[in-house]
Amino acid sequence: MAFIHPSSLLPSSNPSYSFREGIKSSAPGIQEHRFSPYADNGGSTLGIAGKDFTIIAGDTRQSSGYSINTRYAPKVFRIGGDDDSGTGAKIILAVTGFAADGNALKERLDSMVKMYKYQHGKDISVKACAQRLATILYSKRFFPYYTQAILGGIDEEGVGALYSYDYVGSYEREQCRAVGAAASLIMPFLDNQVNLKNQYVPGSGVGHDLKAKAAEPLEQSHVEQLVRDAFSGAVERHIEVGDGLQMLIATKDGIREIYTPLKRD
Amino acid sequence: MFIARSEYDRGINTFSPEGRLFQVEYSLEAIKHGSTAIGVRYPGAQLLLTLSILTRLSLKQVATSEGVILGVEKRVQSTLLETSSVEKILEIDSHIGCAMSGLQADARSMIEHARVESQSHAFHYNEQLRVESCTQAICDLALRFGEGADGEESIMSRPFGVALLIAGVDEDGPQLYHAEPSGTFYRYDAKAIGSGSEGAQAELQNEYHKSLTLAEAETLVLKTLKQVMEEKLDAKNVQLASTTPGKGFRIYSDEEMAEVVGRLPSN
Amino acid sequence: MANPMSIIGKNAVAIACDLRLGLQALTVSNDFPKIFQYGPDVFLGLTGLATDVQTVSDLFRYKVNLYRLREERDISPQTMANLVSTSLYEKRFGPFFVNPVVAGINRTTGEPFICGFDSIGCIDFAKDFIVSGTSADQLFGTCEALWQPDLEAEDLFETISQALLSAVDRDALAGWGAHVYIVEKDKVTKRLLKGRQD
Repeated sequence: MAFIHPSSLLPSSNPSYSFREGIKSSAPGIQEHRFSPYADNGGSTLGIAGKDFTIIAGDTRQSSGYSINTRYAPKVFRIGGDDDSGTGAKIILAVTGFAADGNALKERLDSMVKMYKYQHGKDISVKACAQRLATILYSKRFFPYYTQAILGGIDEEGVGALYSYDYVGSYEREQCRAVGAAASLIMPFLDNQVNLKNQYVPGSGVGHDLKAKAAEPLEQSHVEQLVRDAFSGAVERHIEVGDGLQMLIATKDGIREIYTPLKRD
Repeated sequence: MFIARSEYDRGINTFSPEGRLFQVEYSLEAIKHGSTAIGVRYPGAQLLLTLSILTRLSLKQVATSEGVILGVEKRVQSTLLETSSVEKILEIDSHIGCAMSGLQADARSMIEHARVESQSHAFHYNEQLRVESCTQAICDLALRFGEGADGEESIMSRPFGVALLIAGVDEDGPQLYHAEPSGTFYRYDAKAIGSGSEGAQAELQNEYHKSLTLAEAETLVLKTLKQVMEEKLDAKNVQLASTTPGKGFRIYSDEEMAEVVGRLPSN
Repeated sequence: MANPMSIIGKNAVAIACDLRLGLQALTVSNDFPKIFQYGPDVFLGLTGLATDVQTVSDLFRYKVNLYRLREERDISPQTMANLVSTSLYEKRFGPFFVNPVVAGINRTTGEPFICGFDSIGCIDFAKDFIVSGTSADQLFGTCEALWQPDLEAEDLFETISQALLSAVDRDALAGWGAHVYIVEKDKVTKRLLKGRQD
């Protein structure tokens, strides 16, 4: 009669590094080795486009499962800067999902954007960069980068631009987008506060006759506060979000960064 | 030069002791036998500003009333030749086109390359390829002849025998480029290539000015062609094309050709 | 099936739910309230399996009626919470598939009270808000960002309505309007939110 010791039901105490699949034993004497090329490193990012600015923010926690790899691993990057610190960059990329793929994607887009400047003698536009990112993602259609990206900057008319992507490059320009572990927590809040969904003009009618409030461009300071509120909410209710909040703000003058600590619990 | 040739003519990528690549130089000679092609950029700016008051054009139309005119002669060898089948002006993309002089067949592969490059750029970047980048892409092909270096596969046994006038429009406005088999290219206000190029270029030098209008540019191109052509110019043995910010690249129809040729002073 | 939620204000509580009844992607009804009243100011919201929602609500009707007859007084929200908890735990190994929410005002203290449960009766006493159902994630996000302490009744209504509507709009399995109850001392206001009908 088979007896299952309770300890065999607990997670393996073998080291499994960043991969979700460790070494499995399927039968006595037989060991199954499996390698998974993907991991989920948690975290969340969001972007909001304004009249003449775009804010892209992300928390800085990087986790695998219940353990925290580091409390400071940026998910938001400058693209096309003149040096390693990103000076002179005008475009922001944020990535969540598998951190290694996110970094690889960032490096690749960054080098593409630099090559573009050499080849065509001008800075790439956000629109062109957005399309390039889509083709990069689609080029790995059958072994995708396990990352959800958002891209932001100032468009050719001087207006804040924000693009969001799925894993294989389907993309769309939007006013705001939350991505990652706490996307489901943050997105309805942004719908409500940025696009004023479910907000109506008082006294304009009853039921479906109510007139919807028109969304108007928000002030930068107001948007910054929305981002902070969105993340402090996400930190409370999602274990993969926390430690630090990195906010990159693109304006016509370049990119400014604001870092504020978040709860570390 | 023709005396000094011999063993240096064989290795196609071999410098002569004087530091020359004979095959490349000969390819430039081939162009001198080609039919004449002319490109003229007309800025259309200041003069049209006054014109705009007369014709009540909006300022925006004035600002975009610049462009490039390309013109080529078609050597009609036989009365039985269908002249519309002589294609010496071709479209690269909706905003770029080119005229050629020299071996037409060589131009086919260069233009095919440029078309692919332009479409690829639009696919990757969701924007139109710049005229200079397009010209650069064509010239990147120019020296890929001979044995081929390690890793890079050579595609041709000899240099191209054709020169191109590339006319296009991008965010910097309409531009005219001249690309040679040597792989060098320059931007021009007005340029003539082919057998009549020397006389034509001299004529352009005299007649070109910074306030040409579209109609004046058309006339200048045809007048210059007329001077250097052996046959008598008519609506069938020349071809024009225009590149403008509004309409991009466009090859003139038979009706348009007849209209422009009809405007020429007869002598 | 969708979500009840409740939040606390100053001397008031609010409890709300959407009106959709569905079998996964199939919408069966768009007028299916999930909030039930068990006293002048005691409310229970139920999410989960529809048959269990109905059975459990009826079961508590039966139990609360007996309580009132025996005790000759209305049940308090705290007592209701313990009744829910013990009743669910009785079915520890064959549970009802419901995630209840209790909201009310205690008649003797005047204090507002809310709490939530898992399907086997573990109580979550919250000082701010309780959410439950398919849009729980979205509701956590909106509530965490919109809720603040000591909301007056009208603000409480606006907050719970905005939080609920915005949350269910991001959940394909919830929506089709909502019911909102604002429970104050000696006063209950019920409102219908029309919401998106898609």
